[in-house]
Amino acid sequence: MGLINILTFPGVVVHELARRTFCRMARVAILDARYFGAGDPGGYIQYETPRKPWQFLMIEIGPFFVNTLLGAVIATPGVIPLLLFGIDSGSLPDYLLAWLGFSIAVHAFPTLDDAKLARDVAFARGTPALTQILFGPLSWAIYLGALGTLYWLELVYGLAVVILAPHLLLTRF
Amino acid sequence: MPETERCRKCGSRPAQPGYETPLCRQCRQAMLHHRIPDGILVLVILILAGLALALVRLPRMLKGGAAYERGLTHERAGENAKAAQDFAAALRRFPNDTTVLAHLAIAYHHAGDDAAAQPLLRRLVGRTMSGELKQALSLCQQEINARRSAQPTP
Repeated sequence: MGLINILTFPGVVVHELARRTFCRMARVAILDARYFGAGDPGGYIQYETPRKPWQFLMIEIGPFFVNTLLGAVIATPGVIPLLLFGIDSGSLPDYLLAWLGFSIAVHAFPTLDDAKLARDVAFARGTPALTQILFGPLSWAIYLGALGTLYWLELVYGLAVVILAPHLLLTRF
Repeated sequence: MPETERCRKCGSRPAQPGYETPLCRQCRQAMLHHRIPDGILVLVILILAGLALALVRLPRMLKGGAAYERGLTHERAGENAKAAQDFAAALRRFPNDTTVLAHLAIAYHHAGDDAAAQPLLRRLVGRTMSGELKQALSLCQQEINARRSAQPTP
């Protein structure tokens, strides 16, 4: 994972900044943070225990959507010519955008420990029913995704985002 | 009377009640704005520049890509005039792309517009492309030459 973190460092930074932003939105104090490092995990945000389960779930699950959406938006214009005319037909900006988008999408999933905690909080006895309904299935899906990162699923997910997003947009445009 | 817990950070003000981590209101507020290191800020600016570049290029790529795909659909259906229109629209977005140029030249030729196909065929000389496209272009050129030689000279 260390090498992947180095090669895809923008994704680590985006994930941690997204988490920082969700902490601010939920008004949860940040105790310590590292936005990028060569180790594993590449970054972390240590925050105080949120008072409400939805705050915790928003902080843990929110970055998944930020990384996925931002990765798709950035990669799409770079990947379109590569998909249509071949991998060797792109210009430098195309390759740069494709790499940047892929790097960001690769880091959509939280760490396995965080995902497991989010799943547990989503189904904890004290969690309100509405929060369970809103976040429950999502937390399970993200937990399974995070589990898959043990088997390099994040790379498959990153590739799927940068290939499927332009493909879907082209068929609907 | 029980003593109120002090803030873990400043140690002087009383901690806000209802939180697990004992912090006063001022310190909690300050800790919401955790400082981002300068190196990371530079990276953020670069990522935002990438996002801006992507947003600027996105409409052009989508329009060009969709036009190219429509062109392929018309080409397969044998609607060569429509295919030529779509490939011409794609070429405006991908001005020097070999594949688009080749498909446009072929569509023009099949639509009977050799005058439009000829300059495109000249632009394609010496370019690398798939064997299938190369074969189709060579057939076009042969047909154009044959038509030309069949025309009566004044």
